[in-house]
Amino acid sequence: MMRKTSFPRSTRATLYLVAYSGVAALMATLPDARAEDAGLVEKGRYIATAADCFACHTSPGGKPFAGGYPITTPVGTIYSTNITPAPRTGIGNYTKAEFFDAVRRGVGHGNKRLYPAMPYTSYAGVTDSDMEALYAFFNSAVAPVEQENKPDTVRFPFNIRSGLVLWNWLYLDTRPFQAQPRETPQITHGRYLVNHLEHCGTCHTPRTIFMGPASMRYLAGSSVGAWYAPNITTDKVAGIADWTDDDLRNYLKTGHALNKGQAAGPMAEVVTNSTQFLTSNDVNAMIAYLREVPAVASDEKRSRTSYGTADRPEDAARGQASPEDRGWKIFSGSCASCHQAEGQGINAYPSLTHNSTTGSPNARNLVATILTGVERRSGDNSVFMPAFGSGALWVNRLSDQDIADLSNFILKTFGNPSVQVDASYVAKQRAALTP
Amino acid sequence: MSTENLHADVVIVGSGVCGALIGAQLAKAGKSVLILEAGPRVKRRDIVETYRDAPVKLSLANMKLQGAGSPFPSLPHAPSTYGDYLEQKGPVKYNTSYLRVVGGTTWHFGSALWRLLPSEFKLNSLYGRGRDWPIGYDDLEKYYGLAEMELGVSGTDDQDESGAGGSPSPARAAPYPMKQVPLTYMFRTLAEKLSAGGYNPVWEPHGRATRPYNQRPVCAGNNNCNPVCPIGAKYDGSMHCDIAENRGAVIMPNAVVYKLEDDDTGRIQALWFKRPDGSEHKVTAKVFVVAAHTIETPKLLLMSKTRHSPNGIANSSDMVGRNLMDTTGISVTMKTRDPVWPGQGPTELLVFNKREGDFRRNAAQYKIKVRNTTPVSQYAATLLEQGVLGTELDRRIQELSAHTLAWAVDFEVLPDPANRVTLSKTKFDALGLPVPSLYYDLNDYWHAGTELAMQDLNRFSQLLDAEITKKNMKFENRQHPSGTTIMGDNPRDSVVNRDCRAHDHPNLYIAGTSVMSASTCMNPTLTAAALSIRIAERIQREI
Amino acid sequence: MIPHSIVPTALSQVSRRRFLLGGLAFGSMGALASHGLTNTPKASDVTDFLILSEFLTGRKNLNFTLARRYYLGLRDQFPDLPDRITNLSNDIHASGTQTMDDYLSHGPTPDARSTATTIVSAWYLGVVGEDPKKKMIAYSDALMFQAVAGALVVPSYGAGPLAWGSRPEPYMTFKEAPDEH
Repeated sequence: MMRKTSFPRSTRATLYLVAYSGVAALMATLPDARAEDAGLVEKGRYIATAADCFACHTSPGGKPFAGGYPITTPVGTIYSTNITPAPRTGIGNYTKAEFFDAVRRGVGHGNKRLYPAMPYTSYAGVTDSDMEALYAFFNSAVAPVEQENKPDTVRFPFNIRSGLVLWNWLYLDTRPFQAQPRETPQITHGRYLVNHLEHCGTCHTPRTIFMGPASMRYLAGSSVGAWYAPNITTDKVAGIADWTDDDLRNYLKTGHALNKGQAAGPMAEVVTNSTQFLTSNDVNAMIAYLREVPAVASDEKRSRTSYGTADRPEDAARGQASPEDRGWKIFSGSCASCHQAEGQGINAYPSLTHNSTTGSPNARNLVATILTGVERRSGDNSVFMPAFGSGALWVNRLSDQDIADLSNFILKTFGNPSVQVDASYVAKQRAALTP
Repeated sequence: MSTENLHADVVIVGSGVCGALIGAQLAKAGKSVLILEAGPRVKRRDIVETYRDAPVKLSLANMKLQGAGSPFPSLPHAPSTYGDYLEQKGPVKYNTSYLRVVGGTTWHFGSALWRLLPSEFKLNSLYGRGRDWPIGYDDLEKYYGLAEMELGVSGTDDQDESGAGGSPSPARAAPYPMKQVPLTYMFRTLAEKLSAGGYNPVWEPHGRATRPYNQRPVCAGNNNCNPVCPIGAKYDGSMHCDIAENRGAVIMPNAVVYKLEDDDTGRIQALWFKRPDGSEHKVTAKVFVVAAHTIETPKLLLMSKTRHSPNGIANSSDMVGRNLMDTTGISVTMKTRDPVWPGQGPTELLVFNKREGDFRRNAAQYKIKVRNTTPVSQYAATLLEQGVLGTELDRRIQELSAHTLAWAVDFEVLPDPANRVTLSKTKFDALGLPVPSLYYDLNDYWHAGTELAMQDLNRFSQLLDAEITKKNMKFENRQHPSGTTIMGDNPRDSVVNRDCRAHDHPNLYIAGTSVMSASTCMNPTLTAAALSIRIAERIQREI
Repeated sequence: MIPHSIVPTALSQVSRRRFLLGGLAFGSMGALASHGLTNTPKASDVTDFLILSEFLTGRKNLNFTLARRYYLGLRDQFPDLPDRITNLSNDIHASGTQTMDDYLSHGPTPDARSTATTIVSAWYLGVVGEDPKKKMIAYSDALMFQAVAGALVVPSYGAGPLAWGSRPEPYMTFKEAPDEH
């Protein structure tokens, strides 16, 4: 079974700050509103933030929403399009109906089918009133930028867009969103946010061989490029049953849940660009709904946040000319200043024990984090871990073997010891993260 | 002889902050750049781990231990200056420590990044001492600003950095790129108590990131700025080596340059370097930049005795190696009645400057700084040597740590041609190159400055309810060398002109603190960085 | 923390210090002295060294791995270490004192005091021996840093981005305020 998801947001070291400053700029400048109702525009801005349109529709260093952001998929690279209200290259001459169809049906101007890199199957459930607001926002609060769209590099036969009609028949649910019986209004709203606006399943639900979401494993975890979007179902071992409401709230608002996990890679973008801006009511609704998601088990025997350490590696190894574990030496020199000698973390620096990344049933997020570092913002707070991969400063760079030894030490000492990697695994992940 | 034929538009000797800045800027402008570094290229984690594994650790708080070792490599072709590498010939030891690695001495600098004041460019015309610079503050302001952006300086806007408590000075076109770090308990306490006595606290501008900055994380208070920032929050020259390299420059470590060659028109034709195996290699270029540190730069020029320059390259004035300066200082230790707890956050921040005033006719200007390091291991070792055991041992370690203040004063040193770097006649490194031989002495002007500073420190002890427990008036080297290729308009008494170009050679630039016409009492790195950016701009215009 | 497996049952049931002061300790130290040295110390030798070290440093949770490394390092540099340990142990036992502070006021013999200082120095500084045979055993776990913990970090292990500013409060406090001006 093909477990690679088709549509990771690729990540680039430079992206986050650029993206954030873009958001800030966007918020600071409101182009002359046409006759639109300012309240409606503000609502639309919030909907656009919750739907995280910015992340994919803004290229690194580019103008907000002018597109050109590369999305690498197993079938080729897809470039996001210009969704500023520029008449020629953007969506300036989309009618409201055309705009609605693009967002909710994946049908662009001239009946052109959009690739489902655009999560229109999720957005299909966005309500008419939210769509009205979104339309108002894009038309009156986004600065028009004439910027040509980049052609995609999708391989045959996937480049025959008419195939998408069949795909849509399989996976596009066009029924309007509505409350389900016996569901509280809060849960209904949470389901709307999780499934539609925030489109969590785009990453967290694995794909079928046809690249559609595997509904039996809804939110049960999936690879996203070099990263892994973990199981966020209510399963006691594989899921997030052991995360308290506060843990989840902290995670969505700041990307940091003490002794549970921290957002890096694509999820750091989600926090930076989207979830940190959600209202408390919306965050609470998402949490309430996530508590209702059916448990889906996986192979692992222990919860990924349950791993602690009994060892004090420093005690045996300090001062030895050639310590037995090469991984410890790399850990001590490259990681321990922040994560501390026993991996316990301190203040803003997360512990490596009781950590979703080190306790995961796979090493994807661990290796990807070491390779690319972390950049994340919430409010005025910037979280930054330097990269140790190819994009790192020379003095920090680690080889594939270094990272394999380091990862194995970390997994063995602080995390899930049943997972181990080798240099070729690291090389593969490195390649996947190199644009 | 080498079969290699290396050529570049610009070849730079030395990969420290100055060479790397020039290399980065010229590489960005599309020039071919070769940077030669005598020492090896090192990984941060190796330096950090060597430091942690060392039974005796370097500490700025105990200068005497500086000779005990350094976590940076000492190789036969690039020996560490922490040992007995330098030959001392003068009445005052000039035991400076610089690093021969890619990135240079900024790896272990405290990262103070001050601008000079306008008056500090005019020591002679204002106070009848030393020399004036041929350029003024206004010539450098733009480059100071650029250097602050490049190096990522965190600072306090709108303070009078002269220490006089007046309006903001020096004038700045732009605020500091990053905000100042938060104050620790000690810094707040000292500032408050000494302000009450009429002293003006000044917060040092420095190269520690207070927000993520060009791949640097935010300073985390590792309190380990010297010998190495373990996380790279503090700027060092290796960062511009990366920028240069990413733009196509070639960085060649373990390449010890030992000779420059000129022709009958005065142009530098080539330079020669040795590899650790002794093999000799030639490089030709359009423009040559020597940025090899204030001790090694004159050594290279003096070694380069050619047919056209029998006295050494750039040395028709006989000024190469002369006018060696520093901010040589003294130190005072105090025991306070109340705990003050040095040792939180970065290793330095608070200073009391006396940079301006008529006293400068008779006495050196100075900067009083408080060391924010806590040498716990030295306290513990001393107590154990004294036989202290039991609960008393913990109590005394804590007491010494919390109540000991280490003050240090840096003084301006006047340029004196007698203070100089020459080539040792008796001592050679593994490649057969002579080691630098140093002659250094301090005059009455310096001593008069120490008397003024001691008056202040005595007053400090009263204001802080503290007792002076130790004084060291014995010429502590501050590792702020300058002057050995001094800048001036007159080719007969200076080595480089106002553009940092050698008077004798149109295609030779010298970058670094060695060009400074006056030492001042301040840390010189930012001035050298600003001059380097200016040099790069000149070169970019020429080729 | 001492892994349970290496602590003899009797020790894990009674507090080790009580065990020591009950006069039963150091039995194996004596045995060691009489049997001469072996390259690898018996776990019991290290355990005894650990118990003695806890008495000398006033700590309750010294680490077994470190105890083993200090013991080996010291024995390497001081071949008469087992004898010296036996003498020190006997002196402590004879004094009948319950804590290191009491033992110090009781007045150790010069030899006992010297051995105690050697062992305490190792634990506090993380280094055994004298130049040029100084050997590094522990850095961040050297006990000297515990005296300032809470107020100061171990250099190179920072407390996080800009994580300072409040009045330092060390974890370790003392009855008499340190105020001998």
